[in-house]
Amino acid sequence: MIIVIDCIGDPCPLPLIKAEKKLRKLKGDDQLCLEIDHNCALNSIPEWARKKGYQVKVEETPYLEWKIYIKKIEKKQLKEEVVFKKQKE
Amino acid sequence: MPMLNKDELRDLFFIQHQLTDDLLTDSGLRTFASVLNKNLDTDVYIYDRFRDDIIYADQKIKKNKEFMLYIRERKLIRKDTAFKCCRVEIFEYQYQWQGKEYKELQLDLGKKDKVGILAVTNYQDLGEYEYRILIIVANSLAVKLHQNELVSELAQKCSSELIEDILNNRIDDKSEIIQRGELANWDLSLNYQLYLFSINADKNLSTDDAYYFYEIKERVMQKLHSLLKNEILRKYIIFAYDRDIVLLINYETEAEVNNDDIELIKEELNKKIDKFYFNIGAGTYVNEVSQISESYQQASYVLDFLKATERKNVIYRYNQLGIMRLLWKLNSDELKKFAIEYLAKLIEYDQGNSTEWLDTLGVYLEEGGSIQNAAKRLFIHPNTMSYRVKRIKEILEIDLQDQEVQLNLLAAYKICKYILEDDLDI
Repeated sequence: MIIVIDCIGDPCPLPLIKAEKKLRKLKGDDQLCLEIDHNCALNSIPEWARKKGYQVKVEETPYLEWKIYIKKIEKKQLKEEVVFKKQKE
Repeated sequence: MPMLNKDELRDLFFIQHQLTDDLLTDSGLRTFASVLNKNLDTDVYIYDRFRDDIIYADQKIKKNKEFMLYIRERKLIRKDTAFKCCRVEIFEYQYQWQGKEYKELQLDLGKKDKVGILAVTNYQDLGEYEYRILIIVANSLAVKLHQNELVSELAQKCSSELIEDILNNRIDDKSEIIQRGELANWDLSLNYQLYLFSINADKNLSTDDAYYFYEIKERVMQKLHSLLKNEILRKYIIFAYDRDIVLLINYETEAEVNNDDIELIKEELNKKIDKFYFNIGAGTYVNEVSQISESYQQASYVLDFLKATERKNVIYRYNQLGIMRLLWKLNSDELKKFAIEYLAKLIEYDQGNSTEWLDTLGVYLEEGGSIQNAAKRLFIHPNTMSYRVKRIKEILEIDLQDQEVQLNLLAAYKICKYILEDDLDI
């Protein structure tokens, strides 16, 4: 399920705080979709979410708005990445 | 005016409850505007008259590339009251733009402190029910925008406090300060090279240009953002502090610091700034957040040095200051005594004869005693230089070949020129 959070017009760091609140309650395959129109949030949120270990996808719209999709990385997927890194080494 | 029926009253209560929920769940502006889209079948935008800016516009409006042009160029033809109730007045505005007429309903968001103007366009005939929905939504939007302003002010205050704490090294817990940095979108866990920019007006600046001076810092900040994002492609932190701009560019190691980056910035600023000059001071490389304060102090020293030596549009590093790094920290009375002891006779001679032989001596010493190089730097003939050096020896009654004397004279000259700025009271 995609949970859409309307952050249009929100100043920083409001979108980040909203995302943090919702992510705590995120279940299984659910993903967040943050709708934003602030440059500042576009820079800070994807980086912050990646650092916390989430999968992030950013979609640009033609009217200066962005959709940031945030999803938990499945354990299986994490394991595969570790194996891949080991093979590379 | 017809009264509202039971169903309409119930719907209004329902909408009011929904909007309260939207406020309590921190919904964005689109959620509030969608109530009008749905119930009034209109397009919505919110305008900030004081900042001459659009706070919100429906996607349909944003897609229209001419919308901003319409806002700027439209001419008001008429303004009538469309609905009035409970101290709220909705006006119908009639505009003309590019030969066509446009109608808009507008109402202030907030009474005492106006946070914006709600405008609806593309609407059909509205009745009391629709006008009341418009008022209810406007009330919620006023609260929402007021909250947003508070958040912005709070964020600004937090950033200012964070800057003060970092630059004054009031850091008890590194992880706490890194976390505070995250809210300002700054990654304080990385390593940085610190640069400090000072911008000053040329002496012959006119009164008209003085107004421009307040804008120039903002423009420089914008240019720096654009260069770092599009050309240098490195993580960075930038903020204004005092009269200067602090820039931290992320380089993983000290060896990785690329001087071409700051040279590029210097060149681009040179092109951008007219009637103003700037200097860039570089502190030492920052390995962790607690070192930013010292690096900033160093860069400040460099800028003071550049100001005292009347240098313009240059980049100078703290480690280039050499002996000045030590002298700067000494008591100025002691420094004055030292400079007078070695240079008083020459300064008195300059004052009495309108010469500038103190600078001649300084350049000669800075060039390691080379007549040729010193003459070249002063744009004089080597014979003139030789004559002046001979006379300086006589005035000071010293042996300029003695290395000890050379060292003391050079130190005294630098103190006099760069620290005391010729203020010796002889």
